[in-house]
Amino acid sequence: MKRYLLIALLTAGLVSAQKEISDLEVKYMYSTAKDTTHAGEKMTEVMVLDFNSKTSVYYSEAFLERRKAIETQLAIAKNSGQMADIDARKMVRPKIDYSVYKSKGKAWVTSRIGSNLYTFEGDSQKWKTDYTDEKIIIGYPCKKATTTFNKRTYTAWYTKEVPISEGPYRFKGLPGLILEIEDANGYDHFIAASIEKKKAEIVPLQKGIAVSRSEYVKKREEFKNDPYPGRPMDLNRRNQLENFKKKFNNTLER
Amino acid sequence: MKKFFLLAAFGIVGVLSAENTKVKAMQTSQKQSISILFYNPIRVTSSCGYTEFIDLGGSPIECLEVEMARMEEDCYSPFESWGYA
Repeated sequence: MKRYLLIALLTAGLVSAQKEISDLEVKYMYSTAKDTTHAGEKMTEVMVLDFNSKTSVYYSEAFLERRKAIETQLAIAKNSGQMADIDARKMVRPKIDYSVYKSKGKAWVTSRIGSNLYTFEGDSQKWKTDYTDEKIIIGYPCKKATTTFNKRTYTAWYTKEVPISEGPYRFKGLPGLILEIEDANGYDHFIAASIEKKKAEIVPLQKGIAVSRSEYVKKREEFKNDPYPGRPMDLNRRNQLENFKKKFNNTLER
Repeated sequence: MKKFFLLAAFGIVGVLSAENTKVKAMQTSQKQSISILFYNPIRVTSSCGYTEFIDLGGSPIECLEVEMARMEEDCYSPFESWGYA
């Protein structure tokens, strides 16, 4: 009995000493329509998924590039003893500034609304996998699967050649890595552009105020309706905001 | 009996290693917070040339990123740079 206890202690000790290190990095080309009435006009961003069999982090490549640039500027200031100077004109501008951290079967999305970051936990997806369809994506044979996610039907293509249940954004739960996923209307499309070996620590890139998913959606809609509560604004600016508000109707969370 | 002592030793080493990592992490974070306090405020210029001085006050880098995003929104409109989930 003592021996079993010691083995358990040994295992617990070693596990707690370990950091989560990625095995692979997938780069996805993500295209999304801001306005579903003009679905042909897409915004594109390179998104990165660093993962191992247990944990992953998903973020915009430009977001991390800008963070590194900021850290460089802070380090320069520290070494020179001068005030840090961050100039956005000299830095890449990310179009997506949310990130997703997945661990132990759960997924947390951290996204900014106005001047606050919010973190919510997302539910898992139920997949239908009894399809015979197959196709090749960046050299990997893929099988078809479908799911309903936030009231939209998505078709995914996953490969068992990478037998890790992972995918872009909150998508996971298939017996292999998702290399392509798109909703039925073509508003949101993720497709893998590359898969490479990568050893990097997997940690959440952002931490926000903890809310439920429904609270997050509610806060986001409130922000859309009144982005600057209490701030005086001229009529042209107000009209511009009203027009944009009507146009931005496509989000992953609904 | 030897195996028993060997396993016990491994267990203790494992736990100590974990604790050591925690201590190092705490020391690092303390050092970082001191350096951030020393170098605040930070001059931030948006893509449209508007400059603000932001005092992080020891807050993590996410706070600076959020402020930068807000400044970019002020340049255009909140929905021009839409990137919400």
